[in-house]
Amino acid sequence: MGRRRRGQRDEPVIPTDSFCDIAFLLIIYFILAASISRDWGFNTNIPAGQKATEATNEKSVLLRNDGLFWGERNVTVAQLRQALAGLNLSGKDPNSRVVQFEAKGNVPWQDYYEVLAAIQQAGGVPGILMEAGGKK
Amino acid sequence: MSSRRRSRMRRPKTVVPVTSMGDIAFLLIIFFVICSNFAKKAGKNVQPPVSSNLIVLPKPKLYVAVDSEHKLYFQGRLVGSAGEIEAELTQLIDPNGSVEARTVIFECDKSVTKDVFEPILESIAKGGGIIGAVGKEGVRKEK
Repeated sequence: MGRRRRGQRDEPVIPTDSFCDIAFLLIIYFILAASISRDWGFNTNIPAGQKATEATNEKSVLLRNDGLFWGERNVTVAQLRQALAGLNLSGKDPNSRVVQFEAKGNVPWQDYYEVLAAIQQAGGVPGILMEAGGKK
Repeated sequence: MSSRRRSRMRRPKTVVPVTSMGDIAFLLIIFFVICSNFAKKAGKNVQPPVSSNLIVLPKPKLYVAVDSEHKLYFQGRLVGSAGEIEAELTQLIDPNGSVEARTVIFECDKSVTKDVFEPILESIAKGGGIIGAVGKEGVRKEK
């Protein structure tokens, strides 16, 4: 009963069914990975080539290790956002939208970033003042 | 007799042709691989700064990163100074190009200090780039 007849061999078959599963898993991976890796932040166009070492207009922000200053006033980032929103910068012409921003001392990127974000989101253009003799 | 005959008769096997499914799937994979922008990120030790009201940045074509050890990367490659980045950007960026084409994604660790990141910001601006500063959405406790 169980004996094979002479000359009757099983056809050699390569199992390819699982290839589909692997391939579709790879597709799902690519789709998910592509959609997850989006960067969040803000775009800012810093005017290049204009150099100033002192704040010359009333819209100036100073960031130091001991705090953040809007003009002469010591403020928090939330207060700076409010002050900038009050200027209604987005409705003005590009030259009037420049907010001078100076950082003194070795402030971390976290603090600097928040100020840049506040200026940018209020419709301002950050005019960054470099410290004289700063590291290039 | 007739029931014996029936049992001997073989029924045709139902076979779903799945071979071509594999081909289609692999074609789709090739499509995704070709069309996707491979990450040029180096940032293993980059903790982005936290801020609110952030937007989704365009897909990076030009990418600058500074990690927590103050190492500077351009397009995933370690570079020595901000001056090198400016030189490369000047060649790569068309000053009259679109905003998206000129956007340089800048990812910097939040602990990096001004003496490191400010020259890089300046070199991106001088190279004709628009800075796409990467952050993490959230609210930071006021100091």
